[in-house]
Amino acid sequence: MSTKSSIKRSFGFFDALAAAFVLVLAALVAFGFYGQGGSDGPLTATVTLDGETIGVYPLATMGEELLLTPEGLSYPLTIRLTSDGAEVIESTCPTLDCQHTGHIHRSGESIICLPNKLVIRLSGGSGDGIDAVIG
Amino acid sequence: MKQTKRLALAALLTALALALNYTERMFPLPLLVPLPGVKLGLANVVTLFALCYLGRTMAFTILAARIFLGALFAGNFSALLYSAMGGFLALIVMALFIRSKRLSLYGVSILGAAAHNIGQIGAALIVLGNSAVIGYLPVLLVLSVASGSVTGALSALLFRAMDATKLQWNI
Repeated sequence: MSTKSSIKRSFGFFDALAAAFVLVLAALVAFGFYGQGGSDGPLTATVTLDGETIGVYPLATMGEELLLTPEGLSYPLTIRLTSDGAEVIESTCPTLDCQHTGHIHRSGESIICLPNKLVIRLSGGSGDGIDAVIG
Repeated sequence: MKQTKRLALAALLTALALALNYTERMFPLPLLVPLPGVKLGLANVVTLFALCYLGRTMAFTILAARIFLGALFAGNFSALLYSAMGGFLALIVMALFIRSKRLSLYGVSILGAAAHNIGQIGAALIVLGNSAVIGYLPVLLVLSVASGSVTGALSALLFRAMDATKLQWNI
């Protein structure tokens, strides 16, 4: 075994280049994922469990809030859907990342509960529902 | 004797990596950035040390032992795939860039952290069967520049201390 490693110990130009490469990669992924704008139609929340869609909820037309407690979860949780978005208000999962994500309201945003394999994803909402403004 | 020394050193580094892995859970990072998989990655310092001083085979062995024992001690085997895909992709990327001789510990560590996050998102894609998880990748990549810089700085301190000790390993 060597007693000394030849790798540099100080931050240099190529390290800055490596950091810049990672940041550019992040920007490209963000643009590819979020940059295409919302899809057509009203804002909709799609709930999937273990890869299967268990519910699709058009939020824009929703009057009151809707509380969901999906069945068959390893760690029961409660989802609140309102006309402007979705959030997990209560969860028994060990990490609580889903609850800490908070309220989502834009197309492309999602709440993911890895222990439950549950995903709540928003889509649509690109238009404001107004066809034309005149006068 | 030589084999025994190598085994003892590998066991010591595995224990150190497990301890660092456990300790970093005390940092409230997921509360600040509530995304699955967000962490400092302090155990990466051990992987980097093993890669530079002990070689790829030992680094691989220590990492595999840390991932398996980490899942065993936490009683969470569902997390094994995330740790394995993240950890091994980071190891491969760091091993490749250490050879380039252009990057310092900082650059190698940043690229390793980014690879770790890409591997974990890949695992999440397999487990969830839903592309929504890719939406987390940009934030995780930006954070990997910060976490990679921290582990790079810690590694640089460690390596400088190693230079100063003039230790004769004789392994």
